[in-house]
Amino acid sequence: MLLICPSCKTKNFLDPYPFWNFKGNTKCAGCGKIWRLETSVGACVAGPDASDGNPDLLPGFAEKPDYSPISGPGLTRSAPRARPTSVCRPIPIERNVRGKIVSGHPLKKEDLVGSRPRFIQEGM
Amino acid sequence: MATQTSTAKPGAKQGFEEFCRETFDFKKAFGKPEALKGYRVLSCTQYILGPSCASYLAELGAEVIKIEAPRRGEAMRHTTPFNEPFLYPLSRWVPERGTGLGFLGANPNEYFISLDFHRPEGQAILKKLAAKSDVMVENYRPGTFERWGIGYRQLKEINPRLVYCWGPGRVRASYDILGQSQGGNFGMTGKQEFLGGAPSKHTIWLADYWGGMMGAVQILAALYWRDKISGEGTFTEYSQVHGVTRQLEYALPLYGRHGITRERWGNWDTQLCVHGIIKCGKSSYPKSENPQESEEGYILVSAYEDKDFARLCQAVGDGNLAGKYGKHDARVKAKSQMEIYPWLEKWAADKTKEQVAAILDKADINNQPVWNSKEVANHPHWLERGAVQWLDDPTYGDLLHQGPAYKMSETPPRLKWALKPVGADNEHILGKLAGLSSEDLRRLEEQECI
Repeated sequence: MLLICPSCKTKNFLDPYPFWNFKGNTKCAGCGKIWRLETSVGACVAGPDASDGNPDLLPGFAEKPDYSPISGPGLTRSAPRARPTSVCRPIPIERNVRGKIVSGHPLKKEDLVGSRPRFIQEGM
Repeated sequence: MATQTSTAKPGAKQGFEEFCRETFDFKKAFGKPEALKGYRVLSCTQYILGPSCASYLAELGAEVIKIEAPRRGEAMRHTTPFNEPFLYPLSRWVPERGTGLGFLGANPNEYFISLDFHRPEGQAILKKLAAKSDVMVENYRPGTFERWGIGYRQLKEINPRLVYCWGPGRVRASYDILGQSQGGNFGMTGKQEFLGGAPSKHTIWLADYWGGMMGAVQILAALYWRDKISGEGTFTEYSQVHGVTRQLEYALPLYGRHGITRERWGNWDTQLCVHGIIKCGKSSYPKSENPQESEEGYILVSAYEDKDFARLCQAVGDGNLAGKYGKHDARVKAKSQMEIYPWLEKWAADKTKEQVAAILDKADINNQPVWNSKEVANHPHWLERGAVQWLDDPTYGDLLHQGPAYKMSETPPRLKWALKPVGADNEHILGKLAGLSSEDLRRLEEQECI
């Protein structure tokens, strides 16, 4: 489910599991405004209405209108951890377990040829 | 397994294994025709159940067009494992984000376009695509596509030959874990309660991938009906929950006959003994920092016939239990099993699973060490069959990927690419099938409709 903040237009992604049947406050990760909403079987049935107080649940992750990501303590919920080394963040790599090239790190638009990484298309 | 020897007979040009090895060589698949070439499938799907259904058809040569939300794509790209995206770019618009590895395996060989179904212009484009397609797969909640004017009844008016496959939940979206729980699977999976156990979930998405395969079977039957008999399309529906129930073996007949609820019995078996998994006390990877590798090994042992159990006792070097539990009726009782399995584990306490396997092999006792994903990924037989493949993906580089589990001599399934970024084929597909010009595409892209 998507809560587009009526105030700042940040896209707050509400994880379907915790927000499946939910009634309470959540907080926009972009501007910090508190919104009250109610969901039933995964669909929003009331709200979002401006509210105050503390959030009951935070979004899973969020994006600004220009698609830049927002995350961090107090802004988004941390994902569940299955192992201590899981940091819930991307682990950038350039080569896989057998030492060959894989596109495993964040790119910029100038790194692309169409939708493909330039270093894959043209070689490193 | 791969170690089977040749069974060449006089007059045969080659042994059966050599014949199979050559016939089913997955590296030669690209020189052979594809069974479903010429069929076009629209995949308006998310997570695993719906996507895997369409991807099975793509492995067989169908032109599968995956349609996702503009720019960010479907939810599965972001959800597993644990929001750690590993393959970049997510799309040409969002190159700093990636696709999670859980997306792989459910979307190979597909063309990727983006479309916003909420907008009338997006709905009009989908109708154009549906008019030129054989199959459409979707797994949105009940009535969603009808509400948008692109459900089966609306699309049938445009294309009466369309096979429309829908995999829903009745009152909620269905997930693998919900389906397995509701379908009856978890209730009988897991350790016994008096041994500290509880119902256990399957870590892998069995209900999703099995459900996808059932959906693909439905589609192939509907295409046969259309192309050979009626000329008409079909509306198909698949319940993930009931697909789980379909796998409950004798649990339902048992209840129907005796009113008995089938019990959990963990890694042992209620009907057979010895027929279960035992713990071996030594790790096969004692120096590994990964707990999944450094843990003690486990091995499946199957010796439930009296003569097999006698040989097992001989191999273990304990004649007492051979006499006490020589007959299966005595062995299979719960209290007997609670003595037999700990006895086996005590014997295996100073051995690795490979050492136990070697002893049991010598005694001709059925066994199989419990392999982890590392062992499966590196096994030469898996790699030779193409069940696991190192794929030189044109977008993402060198990827380890599951291949088709089955073989076909004339029209083999194959793996072409693992996935593509969101909307990577917009120009190619929407230009070809929806007649959109480059100006149309640019405008729709700016409006985030594609």
